[in-house]
Amino acid sequence: MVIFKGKEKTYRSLVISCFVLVLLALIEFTLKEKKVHFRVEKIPSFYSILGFICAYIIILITNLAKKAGLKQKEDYYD
Amino acid sequence: MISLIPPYLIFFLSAFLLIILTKRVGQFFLILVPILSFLHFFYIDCHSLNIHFLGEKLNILYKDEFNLPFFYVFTIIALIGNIYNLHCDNKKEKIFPLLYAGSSLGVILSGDFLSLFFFWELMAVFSTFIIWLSSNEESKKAGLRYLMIHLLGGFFLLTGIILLYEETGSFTFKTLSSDNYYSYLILIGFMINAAVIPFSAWLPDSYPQTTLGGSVFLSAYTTKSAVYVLLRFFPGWDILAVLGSIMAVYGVVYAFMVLDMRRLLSYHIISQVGFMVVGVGLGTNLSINGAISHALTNIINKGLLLMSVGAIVFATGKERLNELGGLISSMRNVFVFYMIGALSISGFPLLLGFVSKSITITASQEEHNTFCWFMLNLASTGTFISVALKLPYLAFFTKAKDNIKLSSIPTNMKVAMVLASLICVLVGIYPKVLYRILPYKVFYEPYTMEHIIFVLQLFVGAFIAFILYLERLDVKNYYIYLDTDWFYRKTTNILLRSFYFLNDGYNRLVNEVFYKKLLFWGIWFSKNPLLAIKIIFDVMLYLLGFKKEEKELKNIIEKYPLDLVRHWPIGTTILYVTFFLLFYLLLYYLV
Repeated sequence: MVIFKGKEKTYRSLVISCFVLVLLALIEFTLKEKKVHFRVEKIPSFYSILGFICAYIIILITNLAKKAGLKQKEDYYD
Repeated sequence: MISLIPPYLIFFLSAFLLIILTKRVGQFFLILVPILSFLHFFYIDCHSLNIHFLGEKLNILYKDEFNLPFFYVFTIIALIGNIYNLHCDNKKEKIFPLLYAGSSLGVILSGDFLSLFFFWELMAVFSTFIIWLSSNEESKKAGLRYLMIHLLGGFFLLTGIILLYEETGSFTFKTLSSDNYYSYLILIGFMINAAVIPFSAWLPDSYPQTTLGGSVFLSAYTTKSAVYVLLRFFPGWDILAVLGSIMAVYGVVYAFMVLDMRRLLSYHIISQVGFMVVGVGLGTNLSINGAISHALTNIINKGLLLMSVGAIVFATGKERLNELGGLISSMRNVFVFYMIGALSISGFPLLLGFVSKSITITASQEEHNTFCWFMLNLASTGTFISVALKLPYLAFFTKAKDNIKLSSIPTNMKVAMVLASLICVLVGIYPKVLYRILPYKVFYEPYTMEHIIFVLQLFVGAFIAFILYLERLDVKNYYIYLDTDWFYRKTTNILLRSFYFLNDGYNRLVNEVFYKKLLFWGIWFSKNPLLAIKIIFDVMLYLLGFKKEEKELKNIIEKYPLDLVRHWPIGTTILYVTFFLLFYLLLYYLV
């Protein structure tokens, strides 16, 4: 818990999110037959993993774009 | 007789009437116009209205299952937008949106290419006037860039239409095939308005520059009418599925970077139009239904978001997220409206976006198009973290800034937001209202247990990633992010600068050589031409190494022009004149 020292709100949000994820995974588990189109969708909690990965890809692309020189000062075109 | 009046004409006539009406009557009129137009459209029982123009039969009113849903939502957003604008004292802020909405209705109700082109250009002109409503330097420049890009699009479209007419001999609508080269010209014209990459930078460049109400109108019409024409003429074009997928992600990447609230939402428009373009590109009945339903729901969702953000800007006078914070205590109702729009556009269950967004994603799954499916999920996640998490977190939940003074929001703005929120919730709960007006009768049930769970899992996964990144979110300073407009903004800048440089250089050259140096040497030479020639000759010989007496040469140059009379007696001059006359005489007789 040391890494969350002074970041109690973040810690609380993470705990609640994980709790919701477990709850959703349990509900998903109760589904008799999942109607899916791709095989990967059969992985338990697949969309949680996808959501996490996708969000990180977006964050990664934005960081790369900033470093690649897209980020400029306001008066760039003046 | 009244049935011969197309609905868009009501908008145009009303706009002119507004000029002479008083503010109070004008306000009543603004609410009445979209309702009247909506009801009038039902009154018209004919599905087509023709006029003759330059020997051609033009279809100025065309009604079918494709344009009908667009007509409904275009008039609904016109009503909501007009209510949002009611408090404005500047009549132009009410007139130009009416004209713009009217020309957009003209685009979707046109039944031939020539009428469509006419309204297309009207739309470009009136939307430019809306951008110029802000009357500041930035909006003037952005409006001009917007107009240039749209006129370029119009040029492509017109060229394509002329070539089509040359081949078919008619302006009648038909699905365009990839075998004809004019189809590509028409496609580029439509793609520019739909902000399909690489023609997308005009949108975030211009939309944030207009008035608060102007943004609501702009977000609804130009891109969605372009989606309508893409749906009508280019269904099943694979390239559109690829470009749509890319623009869906591109829009959210930029939305996640920028700190200007309306620019963030403008980038997000590109992302959402990406979903629609994918639907067009896939070309199945389900995907086309998905594209249309998403266009319709997006107009309401985006309108609500821009109205909520407009309310924040109106109350605080600030647009940038790094200057805002802690608004949750003072603007709780705006927060609720904003979150309804944000969660709806993200595709949260029981809201409008949920019932439309998933149709296109399901269509991509059914086509086993993994690329589109992944990119659309990436864009959905990006939407959630940029629109539903980043913006509200920075505006409402960060530390309150001391220098923010809040002014109260007019009632009409709140009424408009309530109306849009109600549509979001009611149609979200009962989606059959939406599905009933779609062109293809395809069974689609959004409220299945696995669909709800999958969507919630996606959001919670993205939420965790956002929470972990939150500490590193850079909001201290405001930056701009370069887009494809760099190519024409920077290159024209460089071209202009080089033109000025060349022009300046030429002027300097003329000034230095002709007016200063040449004149100086001319005067110097005329003081003693013969000695001057001798000096020049001697200098040349010296430089070539034939003459060594440097001292003597310097002495002559220093003493120049000497005494003309003493050095060159009159006899010598006469001798030269005699030689010259002799030469002239010989020349006269010989030639």
